[in-house]
Amino acid sequence: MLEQQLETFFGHTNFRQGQKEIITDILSGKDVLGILPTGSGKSICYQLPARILEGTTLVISPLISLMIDQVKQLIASGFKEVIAINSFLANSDRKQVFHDLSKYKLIYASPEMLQNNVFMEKLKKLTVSLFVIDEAHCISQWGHEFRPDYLKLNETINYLNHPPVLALSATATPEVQEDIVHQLDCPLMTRHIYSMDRDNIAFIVERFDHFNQKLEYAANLLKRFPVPTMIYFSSRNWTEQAVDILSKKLPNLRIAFYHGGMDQTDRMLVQQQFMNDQLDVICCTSAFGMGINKTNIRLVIHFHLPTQMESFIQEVGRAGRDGESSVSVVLVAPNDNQLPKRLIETELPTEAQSKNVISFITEHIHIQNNFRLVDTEMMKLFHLSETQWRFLKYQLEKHGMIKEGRILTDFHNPHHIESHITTLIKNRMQYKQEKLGALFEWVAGESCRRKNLFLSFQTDVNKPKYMCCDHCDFTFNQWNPTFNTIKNENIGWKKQLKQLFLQGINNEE
Amino acid sequence: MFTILLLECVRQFKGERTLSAIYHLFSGKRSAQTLQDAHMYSLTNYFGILKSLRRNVFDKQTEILRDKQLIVVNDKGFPFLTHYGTEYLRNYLNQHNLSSFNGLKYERMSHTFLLRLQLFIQTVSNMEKGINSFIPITDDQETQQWVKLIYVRNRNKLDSWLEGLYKELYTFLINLSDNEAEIFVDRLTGYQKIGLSKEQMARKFNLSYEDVELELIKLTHQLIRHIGEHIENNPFLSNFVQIETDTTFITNSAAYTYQLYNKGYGIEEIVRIRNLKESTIQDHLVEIAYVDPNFNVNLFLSKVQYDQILKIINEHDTKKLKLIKQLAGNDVDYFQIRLVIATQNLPSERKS
Ligand SMILES: Nc1ncnc2c1ncn2[C@@H]1O[C@H](COP(=O)(O)OP(=O)(O)O)[C@@H](O)[C@H]1O
Ligand SMILES: [Zn+2]
Repeated sequence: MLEQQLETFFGHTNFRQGQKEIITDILSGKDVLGILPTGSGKSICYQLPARILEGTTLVISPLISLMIDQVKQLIASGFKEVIAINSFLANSDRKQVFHDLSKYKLIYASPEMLQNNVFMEKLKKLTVSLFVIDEAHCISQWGHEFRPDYLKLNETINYLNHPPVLALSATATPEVQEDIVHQLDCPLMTRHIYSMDRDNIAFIVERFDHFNQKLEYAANLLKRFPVPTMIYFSSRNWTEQAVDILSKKLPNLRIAFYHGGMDQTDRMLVQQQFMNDQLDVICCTSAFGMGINKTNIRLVIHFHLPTQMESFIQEVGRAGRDGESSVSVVLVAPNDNQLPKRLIETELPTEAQSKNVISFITEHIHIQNNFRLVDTEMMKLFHLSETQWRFLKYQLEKHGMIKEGRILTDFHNPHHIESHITTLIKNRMQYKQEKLGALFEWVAGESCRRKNLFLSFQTDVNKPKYMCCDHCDFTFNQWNPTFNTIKNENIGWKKQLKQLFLQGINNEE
Repeated sequence: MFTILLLECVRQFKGERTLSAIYHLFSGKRSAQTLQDAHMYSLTNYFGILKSLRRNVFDKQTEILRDKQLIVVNDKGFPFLTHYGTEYLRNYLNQHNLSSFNGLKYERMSHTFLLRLQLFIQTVSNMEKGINSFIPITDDQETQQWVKLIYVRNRNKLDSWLEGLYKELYTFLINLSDNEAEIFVDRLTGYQKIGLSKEQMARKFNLSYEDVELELIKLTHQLIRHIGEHIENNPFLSNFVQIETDTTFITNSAAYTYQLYNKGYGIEEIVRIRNLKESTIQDHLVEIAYVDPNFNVNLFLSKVQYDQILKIINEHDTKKLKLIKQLAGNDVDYFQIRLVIATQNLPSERKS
């Protein structure tokens, strides 16, 4: 029965691990926590119910680009009653969408939309039959991408008269899982926890004396294995440089870069080319891959590492979604941890910044009426990044200093608040540095990499389907990845045009 | 090409306009000033050809021109070509078909035209192969609606559309250089072929990002013109071109003045009806004078005055209003001078 609907709506013949169990529980009205590895097909867990259930399925997702990609893919596949609502939606479009809200069966919304009263009132008039929280680990301070907006989710759920809740994540330690259940205030949640390590991915680490040996190594590896590959870098500049260098060394491969600084169309084109096997290697920042649905990626190379294991696991998880043998290769050189260290420092406001913001607020306390703290202005005024300001804003709200951009008058001693926030920043900073440390410890580890990577998330690891890791059994000599041999030849515009318009070969040349 | 274009604009402006004027020209600012500059200095072809150009990119590029001593900027901020710049421009100008640009005429429709064509090609090429799940190359709602409509109407003759468009495009492209044809085709998306990004093309053809954009726009202008000149041979492509109206060449506000003017109202009446300053209405009329061949200047100045001003312009090879006014004396005012400048290049039988 469910299988049939899976086939009709999505064209898959069988459920994957966990999907059926989760969907069955949702359909019987339970609250569910689902922890499934990246690429395992979490979205089906709410997309199928969205098609079956009466009423509306609401999905809260923090990643706007992912949400937009998913909506595009769903529409392309024939599910048209889908919409993404976020701050990028133009005002005029938004009005129209709000007006027609009831015509959508699946609504994606970014968390800040839940603070929009018009939207919430519209939602309340609908029957929300499933409330989905994607990337649910964002609700936890211990998760790797804490989003203060997520802490207000339980209010929203109550406001909507507690529809069934589905919280999904690919990276949640037991600690974070507890936190999700606690913060959502859903004590009766049924838990479906599956191990996060994928049995078809092997892990290896290569060390170098100097970082400029890394690309040389990558080039040689790709010469030997011209497979679909992603290479992660921590800066936009690096992705571009790497393409220059690698293209020279590997004239037979089609290599491109992808980062958040490119224009919308160009980004989409590069992504589609990769999906369409028109590109072999993509040099990217973490901005790439969120909406990527490419199943035959064989190699994920980390030229730079992210700041904690969770992100690393997520990035590696883009490999081998078809279950074929795939490899994660980490390239490390001395002082590689300096860059992410500095990155972490920019994620939280400095002591001075929070002090200045608090004095600013106390000074402006009596400017009543129309005075409002505007996000962009605050960020400019105090040189805060978006993440930094988001953090501070949430803390100031929590301590009753501001509400909806207005300065409140009856908060307690600002010095106490300040010292409280400063301590918090210190602790969070230390916590993050420890997480970074743990990732680099993993890199330095001498025993099984699979176990070391996953044992903080789960009690056991899967038995590898192919090879395990460089400490256990892996050598490239024994790796036989499946891939299509490719020809990087320029066929000329005449032939291209002909193929594009599906014109036979006999037409005039 | 970007460099050459910049140098060409500096040359045409003769040190009578700032670099900002060039920026506004490229980005297609629809202000009376920019439009008049474009007409006055015969730069209408370049109006709005780099709409997405960011000011900092422009500034960086002009900085480079200064560093290379191709231009100098005087203390008032007006740029001039250096001797070297003049030579350089002379040597390289012919390598770029700058005359293929037709900015003022096509800047509004060329974007729509290209998007429609590209999305339609993507749609038909995929659908004919039975692929109905592809991600559209543009999110633009209007374009999507438009393509959908054409698609639905022609659903059962897609093969003739494919063949027709193919032949018409082939005929157009075969008359370009191979490089140009390749740039155009590389950008197209369809069945199992995703177009290249501008960054990728820049690398492939060893061009700057702006040059890729300029090439694409130039080719689009060329294509639109080609279709217009051979309408009867392009029954498929001509569906993608909008018919342009005269008023697209002028600001909206001027267009309204134009309507009133055509109904026979004089300046004073228009000032009253529109509740605008007289000088604003004069701005509008100058704008209209540039584009409307039937505009009758004789209503605003005598034949004698006209010839006097025209003589000064030609003898002193200048379009500087102040200078002309000084030489012409108190007999004429600035409005009249601007009208002469606006109409002087029109064929003589239209002049009055
Ligand atoms: N039951 C299934 N059978 C086959 N493919 C599936 C199934 N469920 C999901 N997929 C595919 O797996 C891929 C990953 O799904 P997605 O939901 O994006 O993963 P996640 O969100 O867990 O990273 C998609 O290409 C999807 O079509
Ligand atoms: Zn191992």
